[in-house]
Amino acid sequence: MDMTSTEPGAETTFMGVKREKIPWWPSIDLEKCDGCNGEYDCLKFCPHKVYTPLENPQRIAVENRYNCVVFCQACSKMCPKDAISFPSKGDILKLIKAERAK
Amino acid sequence: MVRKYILPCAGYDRPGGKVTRDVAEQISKNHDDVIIGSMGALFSERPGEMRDFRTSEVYCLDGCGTNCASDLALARGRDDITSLSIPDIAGSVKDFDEKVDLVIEKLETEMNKESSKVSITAAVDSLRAIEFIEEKFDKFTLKVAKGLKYSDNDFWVRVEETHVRIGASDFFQQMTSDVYYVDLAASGTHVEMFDDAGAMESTKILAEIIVPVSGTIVESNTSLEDSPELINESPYDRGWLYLIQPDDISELELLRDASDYMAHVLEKAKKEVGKKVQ
Repeated sequence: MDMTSTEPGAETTFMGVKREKIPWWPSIDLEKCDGCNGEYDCLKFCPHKVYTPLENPQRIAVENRYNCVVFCQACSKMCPKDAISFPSKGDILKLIKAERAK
Repeated sequence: MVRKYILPCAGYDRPGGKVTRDVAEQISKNHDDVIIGSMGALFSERPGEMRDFRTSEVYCLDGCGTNCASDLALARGRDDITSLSIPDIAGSVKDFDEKVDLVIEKLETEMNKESSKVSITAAVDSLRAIEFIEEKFDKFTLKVAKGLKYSDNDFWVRVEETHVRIGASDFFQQMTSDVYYVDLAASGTHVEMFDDAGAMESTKILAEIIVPVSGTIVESNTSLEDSPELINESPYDRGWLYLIQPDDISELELLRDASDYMAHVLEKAKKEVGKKVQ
């Protein structure tokens, strides 16, 4: 049994590549993020339990990165502070192609 | 096969009201492809009724000069109906049975005309003969259309000569549940594989449309603006999203074929069901 990761979602695959080999999840700009004054729009929006809220100061954090749907970046559009970014789609696709060719 | 939706007048007290219902009943006895519509259900937009109404040829039988049946069909978004006025067709005849026979004769003539006309567009436009792989899982019945390519984001691609048509899979629509708003990118937009182009909103979530191929959108399915439920009702056919001029058709090799995709969604479905139990 493969025990390389115990993180949620790590064992799933995307396009035939193990999810944990694909570095796709949101990055938070902590300078911009203010936790929407306790509203946490991204947390409320994402149905995949990617985010967790932090208190004092109020910020958002990524808790389950492999639960993030590869190529989905809908949460970044919900962010009023534009504090969420994602890797380049092209780079990730290249990486997936390379993994599939192995 | 395109079915025929016959909408009889609802006026019991109207001169031709009973004629329209008798005509509809007799026609439906003699034709397997005829559905009798209900003014009440069409008025209240009952989902099953609306599906039949949208996917069929529509024949309205108007029992009097107010043309309620035709007016309602128009108000529900069909501008391609065939209207038959009972006073016009049978107003000069006294005998009830004779009236019925006259209208049936006229209606059958119209139905034959339409069939020959519609068969051309039907192949392009709707109700393709689609074969499915079906699997039952928990309370779900998952349907995957054969012959299409699928992305792991649950969108399908159908190659249509020089173009590709894309849409969301049956699994996607089941997970999303009832879609009530679809926002589509405009024709002429260029997209890269796995870009998002538009979104749909359902009672459960807002989901991005992640396009499974690179290319230029040449047409978007504008009927979804008024009828977003087609995503749920006809995910592989009338609920299509974009027609795309692909940049590089060999990209499709990265996608799954139907049986491979079925295995993939079964895994996902297990995970989804597991989540609910928690």
